[in-house]
Amino acid sequence: MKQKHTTSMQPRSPVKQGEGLFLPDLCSIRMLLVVIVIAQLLAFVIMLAGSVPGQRWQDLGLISLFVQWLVLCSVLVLCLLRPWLERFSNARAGMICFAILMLLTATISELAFSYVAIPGMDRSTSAHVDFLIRNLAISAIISFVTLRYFYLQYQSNRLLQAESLSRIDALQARIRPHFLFNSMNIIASLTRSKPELAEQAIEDLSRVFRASLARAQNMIPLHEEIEICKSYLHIESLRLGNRLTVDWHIDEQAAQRPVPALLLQPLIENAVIHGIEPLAEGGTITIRVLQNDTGTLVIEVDNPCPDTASISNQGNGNQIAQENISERLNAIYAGAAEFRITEQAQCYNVAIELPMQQDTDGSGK
Amino acid sequence: MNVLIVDDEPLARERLVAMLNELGGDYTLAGEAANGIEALEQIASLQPDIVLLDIHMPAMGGIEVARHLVQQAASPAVIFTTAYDEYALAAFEAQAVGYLLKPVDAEQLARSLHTASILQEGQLKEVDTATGTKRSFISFRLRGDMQLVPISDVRYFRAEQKYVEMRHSDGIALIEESLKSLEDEFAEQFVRIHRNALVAKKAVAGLERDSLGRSHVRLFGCDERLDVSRRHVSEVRQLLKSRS
Repeated sequence: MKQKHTTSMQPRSPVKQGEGLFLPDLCSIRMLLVVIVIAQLLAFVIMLAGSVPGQRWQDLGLISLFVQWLVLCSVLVLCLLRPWLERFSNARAGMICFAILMLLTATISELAFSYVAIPGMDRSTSAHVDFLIRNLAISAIISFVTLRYFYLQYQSNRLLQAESLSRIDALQARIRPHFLFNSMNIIASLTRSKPELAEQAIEDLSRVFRASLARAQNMIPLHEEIEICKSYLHIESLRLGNRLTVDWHIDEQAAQRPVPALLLQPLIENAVIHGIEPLAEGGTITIRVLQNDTGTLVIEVDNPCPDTASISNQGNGNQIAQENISERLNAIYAGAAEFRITEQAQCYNVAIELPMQQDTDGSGK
Repeated sequence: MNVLIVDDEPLARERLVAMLNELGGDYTLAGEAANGIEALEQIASLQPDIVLLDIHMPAMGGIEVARHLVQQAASPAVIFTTAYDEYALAAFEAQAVGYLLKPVDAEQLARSLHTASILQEGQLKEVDTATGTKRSFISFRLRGDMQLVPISDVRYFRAEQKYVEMRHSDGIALIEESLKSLEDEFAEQFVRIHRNALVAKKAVAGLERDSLGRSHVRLFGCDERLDVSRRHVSEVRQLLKSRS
């Protein structure tokens, strides 16, 4: 089976698209209280804006009654319809909410005009139409603003959530708790039996962590990256004992070429975790670094490939590192770099080909 | 109290052995094992009272070891050790099964060993369903000894009166599990062909119909035919089609 991926990787979004309705749960007591207070404030505004001096308190009573009725009915209806609204997209749900609010305004205005009797009220048709239109206009503005507010709040919440999730992801990827605690464990063991090996392990561990906490965008000479890989492999070989064998084939000239930092180390880590760890008898990781005639830098990592059945419980950390490297190569080399994964029955091979770059390359070709 | 130490990393074992020796008291080292299969063999031969069991190991992990132990009559008390395993930890915390985080600290080790020596049995039952891990072996007892068959060697499971008959590449064994739970656990590798039978997808060679209109499944590597009920014919046909 052969696979080749260069660009098309699924972006990992922590929050699924189109999840959840923007409308908050209006049935909660807290929300209800807020709504009642705001409705009352609205009644005040209408009273202050429109009524004649001397009649204000009477007006306020009527306006409050009307506004509270309308608002509470709206809250009740939207609350009951919430499960049904969840089936629609947010845009459509918003429009449906707006339509429902308009319908409620019209209905309650009609009821109020027909059944509430105020002495000296103008009951002509023009007054009726005017009452209806005014109410609808006010309601339309308020509904629009409120729905918009709910939507913005929902969006900012979602964004915040997504951001913090991706930050945790990034942090975990850098710290790699498994590796950290396993290393601590072997250091704890070595401090008893072989303190000088423990000391070296701490130095190696520091080098690996310093490298992984550096900015990933930096270019470093390949031989520096190889040093980091050797430190990493040194720790892993302490841990895995004779199960891990590493076979290096490095062309010295190729090792001088600049590469993005942390290009090779995650691939080797994958090879250890997915290729060597699941095998009781262990295996060999082969790393080849060479430069071909056209100046293309070729980096290859081979590792044994255990039965997929026996690694089904291991999760998919593999993919994340590969996606990350592929994305970075795309960003840095604008599609000129290649990232190839070849999976055979017994062997898993990852190959990276980096073109000669005029500006960053020291040999001046 | 005999303690068996199971970990695939030599240095991790070394440290636990040293700590156990320092604790002294009732605890003596029964032996060491480097993976789950070795662990089950050692448990059978050494009969330890307590097992310190690493979760991440090649060939067979600690959780699967525990699942096989559950089916044994007298199983040792198990304390899991792990460097970092958020999912497993969540499950254990809920079930209160003993576990230790690496690097293990001496005080916690002493406490867990003490608890385990009191508890002994009964704690393992819960591991079974809580962790959602799939086994890579099926275990059964043959004349009192535990035998393991890799799940990839199993051709089919067939429910008989009281047992489930497991046909594998080396013979037939009787196991005490329900077909339903096997189906749930191994849905990826097995397909239901009848109310009483579950067949390994890769063992299915073909579908045939006899003169009475009943369907049968042919298997690779054995002459036996298995009945396919009418409800499941389409699934088998789909499986064969997806392969070609």
